[in-house]
Amino acid sequence: MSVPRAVARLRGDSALVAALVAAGCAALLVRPALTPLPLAGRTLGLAVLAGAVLMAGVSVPVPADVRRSNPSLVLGAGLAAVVVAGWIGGPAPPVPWAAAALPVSLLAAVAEEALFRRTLHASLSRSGPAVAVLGGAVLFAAVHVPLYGWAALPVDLGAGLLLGWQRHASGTWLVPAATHAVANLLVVVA
Amino acid sequence: MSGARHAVGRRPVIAAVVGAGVIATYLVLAAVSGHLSPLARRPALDGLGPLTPYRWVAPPPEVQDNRPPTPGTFVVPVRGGRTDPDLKMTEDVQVSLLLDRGVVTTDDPRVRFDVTPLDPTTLGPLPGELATFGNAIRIDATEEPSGRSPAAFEDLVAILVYPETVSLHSAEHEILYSPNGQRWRALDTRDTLATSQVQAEMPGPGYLVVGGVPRVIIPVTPRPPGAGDGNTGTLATALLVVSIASLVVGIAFLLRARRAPADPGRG
Repeated sequence: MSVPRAVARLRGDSALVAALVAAGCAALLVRPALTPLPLAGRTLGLAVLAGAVLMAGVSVPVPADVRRSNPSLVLGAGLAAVVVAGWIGGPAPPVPWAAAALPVSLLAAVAEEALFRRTLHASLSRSGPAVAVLGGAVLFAAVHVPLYGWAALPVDLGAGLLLGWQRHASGTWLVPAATHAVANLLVVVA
Repeated sequence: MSGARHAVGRRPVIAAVVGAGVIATYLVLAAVSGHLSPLARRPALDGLGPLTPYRWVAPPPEVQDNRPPTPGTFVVPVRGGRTDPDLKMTEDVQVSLLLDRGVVTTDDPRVRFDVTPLDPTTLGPLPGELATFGNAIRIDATEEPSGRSPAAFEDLVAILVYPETVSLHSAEHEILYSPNGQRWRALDTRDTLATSQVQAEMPGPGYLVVGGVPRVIIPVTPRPPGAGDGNTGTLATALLVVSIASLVVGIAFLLRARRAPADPGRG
């Protein structure tokens, strides 16, 4: 399918894309409701929600994008940035993650990128790359405030900008997905 | 990635400048978050993995296979009359003490901090409708070798993990402090629901508890091993998860079906 045709299709489906993104955000927001459950139920619930978001994110066809920079360089720059960002704020108190937190967090990272940097980014791109990058970053940051509090807004906004720029520069959502997965890996194992 | 059309090499300087600007912005914003809260000192705050089961001093009836919490003793060196910046945590990671700046002023060469988890029912009741979430924590400090106890801390941030169970959960939690374990006052608290952690500046040695107004209290009685959960809260949560997951997938398939004649694009 040609790029203009795909963009035209995406435009025609904008209401449904908005509904999909809203439902995906609802799935991310409902996660704290799982906290009181026993460990197995919590893990299963988180995996089901992340799996649903991932499925939804990759199901919708989006037009192929232009590769504006070398994806390997973009990935390397992003990875270096997340390593520095994890250190720059100072020592972080540890979290008693269960062993299942690692696969669940990695799945969540890829699922969120499929939703924000694949489907939403493609939909917003018709208004320009700045709108796509900024819009995705703002929504990404906002959806995590109820879970992490207002202090998380700056870093998540920054992370959203970084991941959105990676998506724009590399032309693929797989580069920000890999960066996001490494960021979550650092959060869980650090 | 394979479907992307190549435009590598076009305006590389501008691309590099934009990339550097985005990365610099990200790092500045990460530093801002880290300044606002120690719990926000991460490269991103979005993952939500399950936590290990809370370790109770006196577990409620629905908790089986409880492991006792670990106490902690930390010795912090003193330089220039103030304790060194440090981050200390108990082995079970349920209590962390963040000493970003010197929290104790002393002529002694070191200060020992003792963290002791306690059964909160042995202490004074919390005010109002507040219920206790988890253990009470006693934190003592001793200047060594003089054996003096500092009257107050400066900028000592206590970070506590709290439990959430089917019979005890709340949307908001706060840390309460008491110098003697009898009369409590609320501290200015940051609550992070995602990791079940709260943080507050501790004014001095004494006792801490996490308090909250339980959203729903479901009476829970001990169950024989192997019996079903039988809890309406669990069922409601499961239904909620399945409903939202179905909604997300349903809309995606609706979108896909509308584009059935088209080739699935790659992004």
